[in-house]
Amino acid sequence: MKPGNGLLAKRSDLMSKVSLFIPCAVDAVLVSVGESTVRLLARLGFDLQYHEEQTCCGQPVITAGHLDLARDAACRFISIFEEDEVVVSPSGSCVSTIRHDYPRLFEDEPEWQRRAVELGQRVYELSEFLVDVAHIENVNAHFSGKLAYHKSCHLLRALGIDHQPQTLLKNVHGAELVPMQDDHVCCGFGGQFSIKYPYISEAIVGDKVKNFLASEADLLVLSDPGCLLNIRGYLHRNHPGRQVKHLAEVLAESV
Amino acid sequence: MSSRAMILERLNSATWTKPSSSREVISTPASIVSGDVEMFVSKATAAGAQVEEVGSLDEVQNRLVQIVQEEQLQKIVITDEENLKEIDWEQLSQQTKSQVQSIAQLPGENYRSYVVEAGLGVTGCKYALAETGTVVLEHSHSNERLVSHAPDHYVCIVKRDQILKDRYVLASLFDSGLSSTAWTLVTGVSRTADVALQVVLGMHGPRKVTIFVVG
Amino acid sequence: MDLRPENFQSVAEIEVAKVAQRDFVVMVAGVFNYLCDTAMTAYGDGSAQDEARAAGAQIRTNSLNNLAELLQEFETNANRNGIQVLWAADAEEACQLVKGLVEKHQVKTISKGKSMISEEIGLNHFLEKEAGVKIYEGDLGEFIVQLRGTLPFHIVGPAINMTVQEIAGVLQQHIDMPYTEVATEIVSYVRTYLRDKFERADMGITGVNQAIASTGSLMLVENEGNIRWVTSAPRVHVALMSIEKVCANFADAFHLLGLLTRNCTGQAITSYVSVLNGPRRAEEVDGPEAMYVVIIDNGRSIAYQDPLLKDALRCIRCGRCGIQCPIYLRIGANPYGWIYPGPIGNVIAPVIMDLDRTRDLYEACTLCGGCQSVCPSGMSHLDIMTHYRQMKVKGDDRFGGTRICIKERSGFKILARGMQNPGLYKAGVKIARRFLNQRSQDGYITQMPGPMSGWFRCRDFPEMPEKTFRQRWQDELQEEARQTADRAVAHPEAAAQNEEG
Repeated sequence: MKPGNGLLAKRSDLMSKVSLFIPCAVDAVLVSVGESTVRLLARLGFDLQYHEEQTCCGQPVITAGHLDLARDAACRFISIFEEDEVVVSPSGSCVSTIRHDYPRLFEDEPEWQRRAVELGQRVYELSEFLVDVAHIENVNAHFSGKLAYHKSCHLLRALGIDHQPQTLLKNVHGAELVPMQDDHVCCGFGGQFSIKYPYISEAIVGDKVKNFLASEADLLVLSDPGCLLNIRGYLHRNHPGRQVKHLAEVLAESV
Repeated sequence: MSSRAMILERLNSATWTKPSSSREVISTPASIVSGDVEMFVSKATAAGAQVEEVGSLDEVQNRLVQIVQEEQLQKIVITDEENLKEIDWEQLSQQTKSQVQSIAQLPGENYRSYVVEAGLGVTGCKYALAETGTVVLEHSHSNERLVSHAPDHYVCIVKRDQILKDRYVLASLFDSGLSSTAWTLVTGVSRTADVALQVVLGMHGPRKVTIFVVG
Repeated sequence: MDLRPENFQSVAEIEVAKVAQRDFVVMVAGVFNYLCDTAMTAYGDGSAQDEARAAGAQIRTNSLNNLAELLQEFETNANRNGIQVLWAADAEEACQLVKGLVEKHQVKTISKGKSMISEEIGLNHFLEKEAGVKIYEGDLGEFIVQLRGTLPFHIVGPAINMTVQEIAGVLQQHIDMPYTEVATEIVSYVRTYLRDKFERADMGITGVNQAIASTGSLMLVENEGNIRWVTSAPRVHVALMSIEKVCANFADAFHLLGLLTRNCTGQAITSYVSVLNGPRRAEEVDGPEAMYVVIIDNGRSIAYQDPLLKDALRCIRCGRCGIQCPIYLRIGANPYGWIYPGPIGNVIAPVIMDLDRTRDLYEACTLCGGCQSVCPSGMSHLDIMTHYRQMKVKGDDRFGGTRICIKERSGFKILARGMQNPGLYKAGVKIARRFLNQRSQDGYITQMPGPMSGWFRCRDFPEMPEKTFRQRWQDELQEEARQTADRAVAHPEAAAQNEEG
């Protein structure tokens, strides 16, 4: 397969337009993840669009059980994005919120539910979009060293995304994807969980990092801002110098 | 209102809609593995039983003599089943100088005190399952439950043609009617892993299980 | 330690500090997950395994859809077999019914097979206190836990968290076992000790894995052989079952059996599966003279009425979810404060106890979904747990959930308003940045008092950049992206060559 030819030739005009959904954590804190997402997609020739009125998908409000509060925000989110052909986000858990949680907010409102379901079908996590939709498996990225991949819960189990990010990483020039023990196990973030049950969260992220260190990889890669904040924060405190990056940050580094 | 009535009333008044077809047919796997003697032997062995394929019940008798002598067993209890009747138990008893009692000859109170002292229990079976190396015992006055459970060493005599493919075949037999008071599916040796995950054989049931496949 | 779900936080904090236990349990879970995964390959490849699980889920769906009908069918057929069926609305009534049977049959000692429902209703404690009987647990792990007086660690391996030394110590202290750390010797001693109790017990008490409606039979599953003793030797057998443990026929029961054992211990089948159809007949010696089944509700029928919560009754108690749960594996059983630890407890306890007391159970969850990804009975743990959270937020009379206070809700109200108003959102980010960054050292915030302090227990938080993504987009990224994309589209060959190089 000639990925280079493929990626530009196969893409229809329709698909070349990509609307970005940048989650709040990326907008405010992990800005480089958003920036990398932009650089990566632009390099692949996608025409990017960013609705400046977007805010947050409301996941924290929904998982805490305040569905009534989330409803209006979900309506607003849907109205902003529903004209777009393709929406891409560097966050598995936010995509899962839109795809799986939004329709449930409108159990008694069939019209809104239909709109939620339809939007959910066009919102993609970054690696899912690249591999499944745009059929790009090699983005011409470069990294010298060993990579370990953490299978974030929402990507793996809520969205069923597993081979896509790993395929992209395997094709990174100069990189070797190495196995990591319990790579499919939660990192212990869980949003509010990490603050409300810090000692349990600590035990879980501690084991995650132990497994990362044992894998002897130079860099841990994942595709969810929540996991990134958690593991990066833990590494900075306990193993300064050891690095974790978002998939977009790795893929944005071109040859 | 009785608790029975209250519980049923609540279950019947659930607000959610139940599907109109009250019971959907479930396609359970037709068979997990193909059933044959080889499969039975390997699965039963893997479960901790010693399995021996023998040509006839005469051979079983010879092997039982060896076992009783090797293990210096004093008391043997046997069930009153067809599979066992071709074995000359009197001869075996004389050869090994052990006491052999069939449950047919033991009155109730004597049976119980004898079975818990017996070192060897011998039974036939109704069926066996190749899928898992299981013997299926049908309990009645001719196959009392503890004969296969109380003695340290349990011997089961299986005839080749009693081996079914798997549990789904057994289920269909059971579903077409079962009249006995109890059945037991025995697979290998009683076991526990409750002490620091070390697998120890012979928890509350037999420490040793020998299966003779005859025919 | 006062083990109640209300004390989850304080107990969990103690338990999580037991690092050696934690590492051991995580290691054990890894082994069992491997064994279970391997056992599931008997069904074939991944999609065949999914089908086998889906069939299990459908069997449970059918059972729940027809629950009242199946229970009555079971009752009719069990009666015909000579089994007496009793119904108990709650734990108290179930205990009183068994006490009545103890008195009726002049029972002095009881042998038991491991039964979760008997622990749920607190039967041992009740009978020893109210009926003056002596009770012996037959399952080794359960027996150890009974002697020690603690909660079972796992529904299948009640004492798997204990070392050989601890087990030996307990047995030495309570039943005079000569101290030994050799597992076979420990097993041998307990075997002899309990053999005597099995032979003499007047009454045997067990649970039920599945009741088979079409024949009025009970299916009981075990490895140790205690259940065979308990159902063969005593004069009376009492089987306890919760209302959901019924299926239509043996085809259903045996399919669930295969899923149960493969996801429990990784076995294709356990050493013993007993199928019991009634008390012994006139000419028989083994087996009970009298056999009873007590069908216990204990709050389940109320959950059953709720379209979503009824799914909490799907569980067949294989325990597979537990060894997937990152939280349970780190804190063990004690914090759950009740007999069902881990995801099973999170799902079951709130409807049997109440939403307020069990709040930490359904909140101390990262919603990672490990539990439901392996469940052979089609339980959607996450839907149920988030449903509990919603019920708690709104308040719920049926399950004793008081509405959460305004103060607790205010943070989410502010967040929700920010979501709807970009101006507010931007202002919020600004305030947060000022608040956070003033504590920053070298790009990271390392501590903070107040409600966010939990985060900083083990980790730092990156400083918030001066410009948000939004501002960067407006200022430069948008233009840069346009130019890059234009170049890529204008020179695809260059891009391709570049990539192949």
